[in-house]
Amino acid sequence: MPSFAPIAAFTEALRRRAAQALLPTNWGTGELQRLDADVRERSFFSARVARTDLLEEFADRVDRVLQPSAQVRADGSPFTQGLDLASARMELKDALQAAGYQPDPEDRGTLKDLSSNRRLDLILKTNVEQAQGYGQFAQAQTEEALDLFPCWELFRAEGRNVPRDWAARWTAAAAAVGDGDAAEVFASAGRMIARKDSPIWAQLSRFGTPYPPFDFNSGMWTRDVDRETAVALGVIGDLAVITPQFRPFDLQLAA
Amino acid sequence: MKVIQQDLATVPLAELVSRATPERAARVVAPAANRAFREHFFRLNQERPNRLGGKRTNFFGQAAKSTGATADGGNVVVNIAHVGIRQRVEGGIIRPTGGRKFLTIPAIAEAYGTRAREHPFLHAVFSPGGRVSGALVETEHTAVSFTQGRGRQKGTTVTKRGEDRGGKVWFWLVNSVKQPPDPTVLPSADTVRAAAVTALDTWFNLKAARAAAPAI
Repeated sequence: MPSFAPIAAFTEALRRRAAQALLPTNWGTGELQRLDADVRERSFFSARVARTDLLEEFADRVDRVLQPSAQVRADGSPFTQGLDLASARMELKDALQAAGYQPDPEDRGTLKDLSSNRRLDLILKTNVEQAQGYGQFAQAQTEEALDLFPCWELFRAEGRNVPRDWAARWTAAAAAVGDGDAAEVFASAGRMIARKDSPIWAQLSRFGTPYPPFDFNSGMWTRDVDRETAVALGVIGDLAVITPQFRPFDLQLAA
Repeated sequence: MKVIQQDLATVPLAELVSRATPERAARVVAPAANRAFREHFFRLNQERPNRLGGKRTNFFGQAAKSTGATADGGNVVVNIAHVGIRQRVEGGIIRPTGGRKFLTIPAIAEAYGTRAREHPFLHAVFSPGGRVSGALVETEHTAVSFTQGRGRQKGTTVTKRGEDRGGKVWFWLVNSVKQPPDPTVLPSADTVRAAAVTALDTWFNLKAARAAAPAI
């Protein structure tokens, strides 16, 4: 039976958040997309949110979702305290109201309305998952992890009413970066598998980052593929060495 | 929640571990344990949709994404930075916090994944006794939506009158909830142990194969 200990933080996920600076901006999504992926990765922003106080509220709730803490009840029993996404959304609505935020009447309830469920869920889910995706990516870069699980598979973790055409995106990304092995495995086995050091992962991503999520509100995620399976499918040779990957802010933090 | 897997003392695993330093063995086992937990949570996410059939919160999918594993000396630590997992594993009584008197339990699919305060059209009715203290019920109202006009209506605000509503119970109000323990929320010790054995076996074989391979 496993023993439970007071919760520790997902250190690597929090490392990405720690590297981010608030970026108040009047730019929309399309304009922000033109920034370098590295700049976007090191910035906490939301389209057309120019108020620093609002960004601070959003960032605070993202951090609290990522970092539950161990507490003790009056009877001495331990429990985990933290923020779930629905409660975070509720707190942000209260904060926006307290800050005097009012959407334009024609935007009410839409993505342009910062207080709408759609917008708040998008802000929270995107930022929480980007931190978690990076955390998974970072933990996968040890020599032992890369030897055991040299590849990732892109798979559907959550259903969507209108799923994107990830098969087409995968094929296009494989062609764009010249990952013939990934293209071949998909053509022959129907599985979206590639080496962890393949540039296909960043190419696939709307955000230019080699870890999930790869687009807004995406239900796709990555899972480890063991060496035996990767060799059997022809993605790698049996003695292949996978090169560990680092993000620019990793190297700056280490300096 | 942090899970420390100490009970791995089977003969095959002990034999494998003895071939490396404890620290190296832990570094080999950590990614395998991580994968075992994540895959378990992703599988639960597929197998356990919410009972009311409402919009999914993907609770176990979130737990999978919150899971990481590291080597801590000779131990492997699997960390699940997600609220609610420990409660589900250990069970126990859940009581309201933050000065609130009641827990709100979704009664319909539309309530699932939301907070009661997000629905201003609800009012509370209370029962004289019993397990349920009361309910949050829809006040009579007409659903109205305002959207941006499209096409020929672009630039205008389009008002749509929806259905007349009222009386539906959205949330039950209770003083507490007792959850039974559910150890199946976590992968079994056998599953994690098997992952550890496979990982160490694979790793040792790979090292031997690379050492034996002719230099290029």
